[in-house]
Amino acid sequence: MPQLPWPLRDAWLSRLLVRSQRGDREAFRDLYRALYGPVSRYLRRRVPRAADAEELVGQVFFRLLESLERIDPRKGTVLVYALSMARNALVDEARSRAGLVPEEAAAAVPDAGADPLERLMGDQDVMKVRSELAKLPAETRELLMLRFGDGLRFAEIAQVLGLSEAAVRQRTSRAVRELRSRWDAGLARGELANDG
Amino acid sequence: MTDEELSRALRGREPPANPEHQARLEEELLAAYDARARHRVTRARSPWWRYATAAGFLLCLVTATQVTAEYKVEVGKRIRMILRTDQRPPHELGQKVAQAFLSASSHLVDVQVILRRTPDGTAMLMVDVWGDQLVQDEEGLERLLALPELAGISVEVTSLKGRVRDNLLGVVRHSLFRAGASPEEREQARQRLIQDLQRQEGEGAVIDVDVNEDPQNRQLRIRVRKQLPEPPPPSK
Repeated sequence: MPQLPWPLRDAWLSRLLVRSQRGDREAFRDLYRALYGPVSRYLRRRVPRAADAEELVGQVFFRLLESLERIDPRKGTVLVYALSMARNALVDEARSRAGLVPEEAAAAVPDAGADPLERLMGDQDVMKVRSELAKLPAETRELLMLRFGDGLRFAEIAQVLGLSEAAVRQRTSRAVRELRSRWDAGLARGELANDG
Repeated sequence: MTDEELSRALRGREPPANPEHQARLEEELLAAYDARARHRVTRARSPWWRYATAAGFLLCLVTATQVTAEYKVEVGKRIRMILRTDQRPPHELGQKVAQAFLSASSHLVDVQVILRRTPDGTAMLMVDVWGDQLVQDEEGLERLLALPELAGISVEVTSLKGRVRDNLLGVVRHSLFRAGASPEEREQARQRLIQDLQRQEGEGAVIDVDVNEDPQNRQLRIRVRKQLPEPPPPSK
C-alpha cells in the first residue's frame, strides 16, 4: 500500500473496493495487496506461530471475498473492516481451542524476541513496559495494542471494538495515565536501574 | 514513558512477512474471485428472464385482442308443442310458457307465438322466448309440464343462439365465465386456450392460465414465459 495520509488512503481503498464489487479483477488484486500487510501484521503480532497466523490471514481474505458485495464503504473504512474480520477470526480460533480465552487472544502482546540472546540484548525499558502491560485487563491491553501497536486512530479503534469514539479516547487516556504512573513509581523505586 | 516507547513495547519483534505466502494466497483468491465473477454472469441473466416474461405476456395479450373470433350465446328458448287435431291453443299460452323460463335475474325481451297447421289437422305451436339469463332447459321443461293446459302435450325445448363476433380474449372470457357452464366445460375452455397460445408462442413457451371464478371478482390471468434471444454484445 502506498504511503498516503489516512484520508487519501481510505478513499483509495474505498475506490478499489467499489471497483472490485463491480467485477474489476485488477482492483481486487490491488485491494488484496494493500490490505495484506496490515491484516498480516495484526495477526502475526497476536499469534505466536507464523503458520497459524498465515492460516488466519487466508481465512480473513476468503471471508472478505465472500462478503465483498455486502461491504459498504460509507459505513466504515475498508481497512478497519478487514481488521475487524481479522479480530473475529482470531476470536473464533481461540474459542475453538480449549484453554484459550477469546478476549485474551485479541489482546495478546507480541513477544519481544524469539531466543534468549535477543531478549538479553533487547531494550530493558521495553521489557519493563511489557511486564506492566501484562498486569492490565485484556480489554485495556487490546485498546493499547490497537492504538500504539497497530497505529489505528481513535475512530478506527471505535469501529473495531464497537464502541463510541469518545469512550475509546477516555479509556485509552486512562490506561496510558495508569501505565505512566506505574512506570514513574517503578523509577522512583529504582527497579529499572537495577533490572538485569 | 513516551508514546514511542509504548509503541515499541507493543509492536515487539515483528516477524518478517512471508512473500511466498502472500503470492500463493493472492493466486488462490484471484481464482476464487474469477469463479465468483463467472457465477455472477450467470445470475445476471435473471433480469432478462423477467423482461422476457413481461414481453411474452404483453405479446400474448396483444395477440389475443387482435385475433378475431366468434362465439355463440343463448339469446332465447324455442318451445315446440304438438297439439292434437281437435285441440285449440290454450288462452295466453305464450305468456305462460315464457313465465316458465324466467327467474329472478332473467330479462325478458320478447315472446313470439306461431301456430302451424298441417293438412292432416295436427298443429304445431312454436313459442320463441327471447331474453337473457333464462332458466335451464330441464328446469323450464319441468315447469311447463306442470301447467294443466299442457297436460298430455308433447313439448320440446331448444336453445336459440346468436353469433357474437369478438376477439380471442373475448371468446375465452365467454367460455370461462358464461353462466351455467360446468366446471368440466370451463376446464376444457382453459385447456383449449393454453393449446392455442402454445401454438402461437412455440413449444419453448410456458403458458399459465389462471381463472378466478368468484362472481364478485371474475379474473382471467394469462402468463407466458419464454426466453428472448440473447441481446447482442455491446459494440466496442
